[in-house]
Amino acid sequence: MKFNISCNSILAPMRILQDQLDKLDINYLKHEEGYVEIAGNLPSDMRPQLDDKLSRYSVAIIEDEKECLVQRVKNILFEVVNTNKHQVQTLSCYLTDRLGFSYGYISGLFASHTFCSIEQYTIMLRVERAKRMIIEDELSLKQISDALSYSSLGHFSKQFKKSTGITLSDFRKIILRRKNGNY
Amino acid sequence: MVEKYERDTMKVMLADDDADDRMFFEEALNATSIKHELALFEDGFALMDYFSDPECALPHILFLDLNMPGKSGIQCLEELRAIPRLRDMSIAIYSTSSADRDIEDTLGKGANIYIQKPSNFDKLRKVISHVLKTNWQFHMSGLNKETFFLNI
Repeated sequence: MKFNISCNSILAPMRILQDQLDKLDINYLKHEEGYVEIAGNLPSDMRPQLDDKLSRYSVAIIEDEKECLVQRVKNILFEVVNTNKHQVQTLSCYLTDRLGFSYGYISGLFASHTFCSIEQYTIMLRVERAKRMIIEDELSLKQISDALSYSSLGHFSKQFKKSTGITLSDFRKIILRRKNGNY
Repeated sequence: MVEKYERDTMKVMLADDDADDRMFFEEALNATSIKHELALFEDGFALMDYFSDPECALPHILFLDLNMPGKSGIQCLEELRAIPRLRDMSIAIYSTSSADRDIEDTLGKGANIYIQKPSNFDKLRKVISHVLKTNWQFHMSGLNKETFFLNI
């Protein structure tokens, strides 16, 4: 049988990092915000070892502070799009509260590091989640549209088409063809 | 913005038998603000010859002309998608056809992007820029490449 997998949070890469630190016998403190802290510095000879182990899982440690912030924004957006928590605040207020920087600063930094705006990125994540749900084939398009908080099925299908260039029904056809073919 | 573009070089390949189209593509790519390396192939045989080396360097994205004499784009696509190590490489079909059948057929066979060749330079520059930036998200953000489709 075939297993399709998905990963909806940074829990997995965090776990991988923790396991590797355990193996190297390094004490650390795990923070819920998505980073790990160790007392003092890592002995210089251990760093290449750690990087090498992590790279096998496509996990990398970020050094640059700005890049860290961009990654934290991505993590938060991922969480917002992939959980069904009701949003009381606007996204910009939420990011400002969580990160403690002005939205202007966050959005400017994000755009300069990722080639796209926070809004475009969020739409992309939402469309990606929609694709996964369509492939899982358990919910109707209307249910998916509701689960992703779109105001209507029409709006959902329009945004999908705008973002991918293909319609929802063509997407289904292509997925079906890939399932039936070897690819 | 420049700082980041300097650091991240996108590796791009194009296989197209038409010399004018290759030149047109290269100029449009140079006109974007994206730092890149471009490798060109003149036909499907040269392309497949390159990828037959299991040690060869892989691009982030390959632009593949659909209508090439000898070995067509669709044949290349099928052969490339049969090679497991190339799974993470995005393949963009670059074609003059806008037929729904071609779009469905190529995306169904494992292409990620379908581009109808734009007729003017400015449009081509914009399309290439959009495709490369979108592709970048899929490479840098751990999104699922198996469901990465773009029709433009």
